[in-house]
Amino acid sequence: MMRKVSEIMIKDYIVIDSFWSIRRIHDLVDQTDMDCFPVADNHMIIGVLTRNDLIKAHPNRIALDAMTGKFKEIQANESIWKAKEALDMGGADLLLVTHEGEIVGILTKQVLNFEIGKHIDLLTGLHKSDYILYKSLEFLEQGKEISVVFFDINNFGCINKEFGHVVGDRILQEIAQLLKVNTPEESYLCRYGGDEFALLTANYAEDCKALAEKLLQIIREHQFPKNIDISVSAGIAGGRRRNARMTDMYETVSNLINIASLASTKAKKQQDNLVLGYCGFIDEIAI
Amino acid sequence: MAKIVNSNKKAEITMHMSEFEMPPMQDVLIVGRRAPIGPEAARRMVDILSPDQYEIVKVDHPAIEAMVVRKALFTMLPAEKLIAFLLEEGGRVANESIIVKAQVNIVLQVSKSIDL
Repeated sequence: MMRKVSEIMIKDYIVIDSFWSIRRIHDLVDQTDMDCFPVADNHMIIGVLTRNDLIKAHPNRIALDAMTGKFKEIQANESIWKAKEALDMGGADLLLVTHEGEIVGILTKQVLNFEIGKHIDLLTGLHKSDYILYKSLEFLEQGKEISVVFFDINNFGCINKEFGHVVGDRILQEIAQLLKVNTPEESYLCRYGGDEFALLTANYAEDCKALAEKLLQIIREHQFPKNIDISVSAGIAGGRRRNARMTDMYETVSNLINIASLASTKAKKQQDNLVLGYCGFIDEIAI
Repeated sequence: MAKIVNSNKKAEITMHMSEFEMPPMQDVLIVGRRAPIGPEAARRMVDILSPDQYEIVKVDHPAIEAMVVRKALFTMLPAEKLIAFLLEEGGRVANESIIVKAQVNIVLQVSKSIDL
């Protein structure tokens, strides 16, 4: 399941009065482990004080004169990726987390980046599967088509056994890089599991076939360490929207990825290592 | 042998008295980016003593964060012209850690000829 803002937000946050001096707030930072605060004037949040603001401001200043007005609100049930986009796009340093119109917590850049770091694969630098799920749901919400191309390295277990895990890791890094460099715009790549990668596109499944063929060809032509002959199988799953509203899009997307994964397993037996697994209506596959 | 030195302490007191200005600023405060008092604090201070008479103008300047300006000045000169003038002259003396108090006298000269 995707991590929600409510799971990582700071619940025990402290609201600073706009007339508090920076010196007083420094003392508060010393006494607590917090360094980012919402600032309120007459019980209304009017800005935020971040660690940077506190470093730059003269100790005599009041919070009102040291704060930045850049803050945004986010719903507690939104995903952490939505929060990341909100912070990155708006140039804000802090998000106020709301639930039914009430502020229930805050989310700082530091806390969010720490969490996001857990969803980045250390070996390849690619996102993990959580991000693809989030982007899939976003595409569907925007009324776009989605297709998933699932890549699976052939006989990777044997390569690891024959050449060792260090060589295996290098092959994974090189394949990740090849896929990343050749991923079209508005497509998102992740390392799904050990030797599996998933690519999300906003195209019909049939249109992804040419892209998958091109990527398989690029990998086939690449020279890997010790001249190891590497081939990859790919399975494609995608669908067209039929109903405007769907009840459980998360389940739908999970099933679509699963179908693509099964198609990539089938593709291992095909000569061209490619199987177009599903291209029906995406609101059917959750049933 | 140690010498014993007698010492006397004296204090001289001088006092200079003048009327306390209300508010304790004149027409403009030029507030540095790292000044000990920020523009909001300055404005709220004068708002208590002279309500609604001053306005904060945030400026884009490396050393100056804002100016707290007596509103009456804007009725005599367009705000952008006055601020440009204050920035040009104030920017020469202000740095980011100080607050500069400025007195601004505007004299309008009008000359008209009329038909007799």
